[in-house]
Amino acid sequence: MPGLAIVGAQWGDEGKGKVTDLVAERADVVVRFQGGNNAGHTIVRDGAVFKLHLIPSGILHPGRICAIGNGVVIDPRVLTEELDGLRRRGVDTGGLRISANAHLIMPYHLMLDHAGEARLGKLEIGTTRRGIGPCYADKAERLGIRVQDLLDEKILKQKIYAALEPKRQSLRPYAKDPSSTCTP
Amino acid sequence: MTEDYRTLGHRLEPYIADTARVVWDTLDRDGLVVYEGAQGLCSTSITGPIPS
Repeated sequence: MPGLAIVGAQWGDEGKGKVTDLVAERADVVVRFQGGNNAGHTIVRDGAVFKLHLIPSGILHPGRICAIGNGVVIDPRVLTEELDGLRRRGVDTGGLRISANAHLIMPYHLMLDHAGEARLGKLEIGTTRRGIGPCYADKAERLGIRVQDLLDEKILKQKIYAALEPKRQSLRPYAKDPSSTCTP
Repeated sequence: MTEDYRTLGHRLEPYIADTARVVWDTLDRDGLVVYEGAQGLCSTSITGPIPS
C-alpha cells in the first residue's frame, strides 16, 4: 500500500509545505488530515507566492485531488477566503474535496480560545487563538458541528444551541460585545 | 450564526465529499497519497498528539 508522510520534528516551520509541493507533483492525492488554519504553508510557484492555511499544497498542480480529511477542524470563513484567493489568481480548485465529517470552527470557539488564554495569563499556552483547541474539545465532548450539518438548517440550529448551552458562563464576558456574533 | 454558516455551507457544498473513500480508492489503484499535517502533530512525547 503506497503512502508517503512528510513529518517535521522541529516545532513547525521546517518547510513541510514546500516539500509537500515537490512531492505532490507525482502524487495522486494530497491529504490534510489534522489541525486547522494554524498551518501556514508558503509555496513559490513561477515567482508567485502562495500562502495556504487549510487547502493542501497540491492544489497548485492542475488535476490533483486535494482532500481535507475528517480529522481537520475547518473555519469555513477562512476556507472560502482561501478558495476565493486561489480562484482570483487563476488556480483551478476543482480538485478539492472536503470531508463531510470534518468539524467546524464556530465563532464561539475563537472566543473561548481568547478567553482561555486570557484566563491563564502568564501561563498561557500560546495558541494561535483561531479556535482550534476548543473545536477539538467540542469534538471530544460530542458537541461538535460537522461540515455536513451546514446543509441542513434545522440540524445546524439544533446543534449550535446544544453546543452553546454549556458555554454560556465562559462566553458571558462577550455578551455586551457588539462585534460578537455568538447568537444561534 | 446559523444563517452565516448556511451561506458558507452553500459555497462549500460542491467540494463536500466522502474523502475516506477518495483515499481508499486511490490506494486500491496503487496510487500515491501524500498526507500533509500541521503544527502540533505529535509535538510532544509526553501528552501525545496535539491536537488529537
